[in-house]
Amino acid sequence: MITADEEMTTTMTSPATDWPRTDTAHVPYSVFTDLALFELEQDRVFRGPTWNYVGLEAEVSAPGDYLSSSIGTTPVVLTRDRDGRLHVLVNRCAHRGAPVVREARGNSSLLKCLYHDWSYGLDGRLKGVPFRKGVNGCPGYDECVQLGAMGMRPLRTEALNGLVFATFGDAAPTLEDYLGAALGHITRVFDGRALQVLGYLRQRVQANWKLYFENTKDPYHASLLHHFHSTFGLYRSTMRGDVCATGTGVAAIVAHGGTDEDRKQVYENGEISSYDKAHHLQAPGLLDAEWEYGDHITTSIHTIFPSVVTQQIANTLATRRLVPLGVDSFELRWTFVGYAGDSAELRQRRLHQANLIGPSGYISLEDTEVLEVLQRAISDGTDDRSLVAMGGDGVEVDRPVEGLISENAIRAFWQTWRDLMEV
Amino acid sequence: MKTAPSPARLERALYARLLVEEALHAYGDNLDRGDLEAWASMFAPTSSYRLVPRENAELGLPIALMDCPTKEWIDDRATSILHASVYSPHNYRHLYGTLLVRETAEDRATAQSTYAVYRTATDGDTELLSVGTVDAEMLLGADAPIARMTVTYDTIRVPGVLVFPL
Repeated sequence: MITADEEMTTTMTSPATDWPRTDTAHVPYSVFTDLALFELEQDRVFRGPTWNYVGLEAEVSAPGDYLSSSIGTTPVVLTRDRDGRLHVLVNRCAHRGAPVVREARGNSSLLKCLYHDWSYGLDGRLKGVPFRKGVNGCPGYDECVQLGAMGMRPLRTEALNGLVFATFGDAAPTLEDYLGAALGHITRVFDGRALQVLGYLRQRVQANWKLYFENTKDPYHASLLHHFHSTFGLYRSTMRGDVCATGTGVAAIVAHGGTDEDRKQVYENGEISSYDKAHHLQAPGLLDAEWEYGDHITTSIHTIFPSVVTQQIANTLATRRLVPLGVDSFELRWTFVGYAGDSAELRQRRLHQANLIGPSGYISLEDTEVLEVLQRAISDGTDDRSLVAMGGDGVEVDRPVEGLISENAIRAFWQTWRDLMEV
Repeated sequence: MKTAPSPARLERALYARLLVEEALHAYGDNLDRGDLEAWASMFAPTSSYRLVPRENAELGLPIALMDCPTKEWIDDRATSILHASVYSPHNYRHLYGTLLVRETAEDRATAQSTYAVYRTATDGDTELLSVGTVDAEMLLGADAPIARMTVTYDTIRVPGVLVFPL
């Protein structure tokens, strides 16, 4: 018999009353619509033992630089101090909760709160408190108030080849261990060469943030939803590729392009598939990618749960930071990069190929579309569930599995989420 | 008060303005009717179109939301949307603010205006999609009068997906 306490717990924090841990092939849609679960995720996922991307070293390249960011719905700020060290601080004044940093980015030796001018060092330590000792008969702060121990809370921070991550989870593994079997794919692209920010694109998607992870961990849909793919030899599901998921919710999906001869064939045809007639691209530049890594990988997508998707698609390199805004709303912040040493020609390729991705991207725009219509279709309070059984119903982690028609990475993601959420 | 221009000068300036106004009206109207081929056909053989977030413009960063450096890229954007993109039907409605026209040569002028584009979905709700500025170079009297169109949008958190150009 379920006691009153147990019943409360079930209805308030559980996505379904009958979702056994052994069922890895179904997901109740309430996980995308339940407000209580969204709030619990802030605590158990975003402030749990997870590494969250906050920005690039290149965005805070000079001492004194700071960048506003977030982890889940918690505002944070990334700083570089006078000695060149990076800090990620919770962006909240220790006094009465105002944000200390209100601009998107800037440079300063002190971070000052607008409300009472409390000021902090770039490491978050409280440096100045006006009228601390009182004035004109006002006594100031009592001596037993430990102002010296106060500050903007610093988070455990690690940088990997220019990507900066932070965690609330002091017991979380190292960043490298967290990235696990996906690490090599990430460091193939973010290989330690200095990065240069080429620009930002942002969009708000009316869908639950976890739908974006399902979408980017899903190579099955790529050639079917994105009709653009089939033309350019950028991606076909019959191409050689593999999916590597980890036990921490991270995954890498990699697709190998054909030989130069195959690509030349596709380039010469230049057809866009449609149901009625063939169309041609007039400008060849979009197809004209360079093999810059000494291999023929055209697509390398790294879904770093719970905060970012990093990618190489042809010659476009980007981080897509996922910012949850509400249970049915998230923002995607795209940061496009190149390497500081890129030739003018390669840089130009990156800029032009950016037409493929982003909020208007030829191969990205359908993702936004499908997630928004999907969110609406599951918002009726149903207790239906999805089927995530392509390629099997088990979960394979820590080794690459060949084949791009697979939902294994999605199943692995749900397993991690359920572990963290305890549901 | 400044001295009024001579009648001839004024006539030329007004005629240039008239041509630019008509072109800008047609531009917005083509997009509002979803006629991407007509939109593309307004661009001269040597022309470009860029749709840029204000943030990148202010930071001097080169990434654009849509980057069409030549007429061929403009045509490809139209072709791709018409024949290779999947999206829910919707309508744009362009509203342009006060227009500033400056003649730069006998048959050329720059045009600057503010804009707002509203988007109406199939459910019939209209939302504000984007506000910003347009900055164009026009070839006065040409059939394809746009030599350059740069649209800089303030609404940098794009609501959903932006399918058609602005």
